[in-house]
Amino acid sequence: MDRLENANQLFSWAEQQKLNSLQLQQASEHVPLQPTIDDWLAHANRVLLFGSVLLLSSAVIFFFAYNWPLMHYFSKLSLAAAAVVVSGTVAIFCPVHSQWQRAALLGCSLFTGALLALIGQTYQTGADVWQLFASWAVLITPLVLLSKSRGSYLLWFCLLELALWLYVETNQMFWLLERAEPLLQMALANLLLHLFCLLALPKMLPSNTKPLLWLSAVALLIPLTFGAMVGVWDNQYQANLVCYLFIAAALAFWYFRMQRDLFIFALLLFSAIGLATAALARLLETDDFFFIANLLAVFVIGSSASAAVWLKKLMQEPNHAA
Amino acid sequence: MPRNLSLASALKQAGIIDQAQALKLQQNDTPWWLQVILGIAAWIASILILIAFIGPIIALAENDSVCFVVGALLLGAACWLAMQRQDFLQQMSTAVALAGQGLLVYAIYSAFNSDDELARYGCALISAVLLFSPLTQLHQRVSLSIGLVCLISLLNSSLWLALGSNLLALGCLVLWCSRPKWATLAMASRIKSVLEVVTLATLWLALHGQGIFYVDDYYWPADHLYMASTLYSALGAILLLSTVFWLSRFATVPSRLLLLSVTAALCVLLYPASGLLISAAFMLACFYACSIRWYALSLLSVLVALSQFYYSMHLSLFYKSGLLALSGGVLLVGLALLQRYQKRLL
Repeated sequence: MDRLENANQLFSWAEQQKLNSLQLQQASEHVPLQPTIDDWLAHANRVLLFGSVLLLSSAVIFFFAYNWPLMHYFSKLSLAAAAVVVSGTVAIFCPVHSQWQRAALLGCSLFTGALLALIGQTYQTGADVWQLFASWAVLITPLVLLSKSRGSYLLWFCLLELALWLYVETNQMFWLLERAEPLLQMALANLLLHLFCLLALPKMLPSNTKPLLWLSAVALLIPLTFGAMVGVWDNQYQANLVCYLFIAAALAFWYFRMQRDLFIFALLLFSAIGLATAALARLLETDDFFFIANLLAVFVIGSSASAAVWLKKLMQEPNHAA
Repeated sequence: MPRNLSLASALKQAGIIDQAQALKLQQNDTPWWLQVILGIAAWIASILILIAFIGPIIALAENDSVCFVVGALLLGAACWLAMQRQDFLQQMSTAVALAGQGLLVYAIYSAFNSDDELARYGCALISAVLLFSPLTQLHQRVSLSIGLVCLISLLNSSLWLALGSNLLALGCLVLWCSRPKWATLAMASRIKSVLEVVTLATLWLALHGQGIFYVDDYYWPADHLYMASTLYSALGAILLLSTVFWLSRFATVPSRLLLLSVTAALCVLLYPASGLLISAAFMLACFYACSIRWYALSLLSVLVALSQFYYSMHLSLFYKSGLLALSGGVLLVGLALLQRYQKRLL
């Protein structure tokens, strides 16, 4: 994929008129502008393998769905369990950490969820939906750890987030503005997840864990920032505001001084700008709307532009990530 | 080391570019995530300014001429902002330009007795004209998207929509596969903007075509829906086969025959899943054009098409399950043959 990214960069420069046609042609002698035979073969292997797994898994799911109303509940459970066992068995007999094993473990993780949903549906246990996703996440944890695959970790994260969201959500329309505790719980739970991604994940996963770290940062900052901005206006949310100040300061120090990561630092910077804008609007709330709107606009323009200039300067430095 | 730095150094060492050009290439383009964050901030600022200034003017004037003038002024201001270097101002220029365009379209709608068809044509025309303005590439994409949606909404026949969608797909596939040829043209950045917008529209239309029976059965006559669905499937299969045929032009004859046989088998088996076929064609073309981002989007489209296939109620789940199982089998056979071919190469 590196070769393709290099070719894409060359094309982008040419499209922006930064390279002329002669230069592009000369560059093509050093960097192929089309995928090579090796690239095509690697691509074909990946597509054919995952494509066949995807189509066959879909065929099984469609078949279950077709026969569903006619099947005895024991047959349904046996079939779902068999899918889990077969994919698990394939994973055991595949070479360790091979693409086949990772695909089989991902399939096993997905079938586990289907089996749990089926159990919940058949026995009508009365459990809340969040418990289904939480159980699913817990049960596939060993598979995710074994797979050492970003796809499996991504599935695991999505399940944890879904479980968390469904746990805190009520059925009210504006539930985020009713009580401060749900937002705080989400923020703190996502902080734990983020710390896991920062400290433990790089030791468990051989490939680049940055995308997962960034996703966890986004999942943390959204409820944290939202709660803090509401906290500027509503005393009920002051705990959210205080948490934001401590957590944001700690993360800013870490990602600026200790382990430079510009993407996460940029998120922190702009979330601080959002909070400052909300605070400014609160301070000026009794003034004329025309004046407020323009002052806020100027503040947003000035602070965002300054932040962008600073971030671009930091990007020029050699020791940054992202 | 960032990619542009290492690549620019390599070009300089090979003597292809000089020091000045290398420095220019090594200037970091703003990463996409910073552009998104700046975009959000710029839009918030622009909305605040527009509400404070423009809202009162329009509310007080209630006159189409005032709307035209204000719209034109906003476009002029947007062009000026677009020529500034700061990324934030570039993002603001997009927001201001879209506000200006919106005002012009509203003025056309209001001036011509609330004729929404004329307004949609007007919107498409304004988007096409602004493609040649100094406005940013982001604006080109957003404006073209809106213009394209207006044009597509004017089609009142499912058959024309099916034909149009596949013609657009053909155009996009040709452009992706010929990227090295047009990349150095003066209009290349505009071609790229048009290509990306139309690719997105085509993928969406392909998914729409696959689900035409349950999406549009209340809007168009039932027999036209069957013909439209057939057109989507047939043309989608032709597009995928043609793409594979062209991309395999340098392969040996036996390899090419094998590739075409596997593709033909998939086209026959997955005939009802036209969205899947068209998305797969785009995957291959974007891979050939070395555009990983659009390759990933086409792959996402394949996954969505597969999920959507579940809801195609005109076919039974048992039948669809059989088709998918056979298709999976065909891919496994293809994989086995590929592994054998690779062992022979080694």
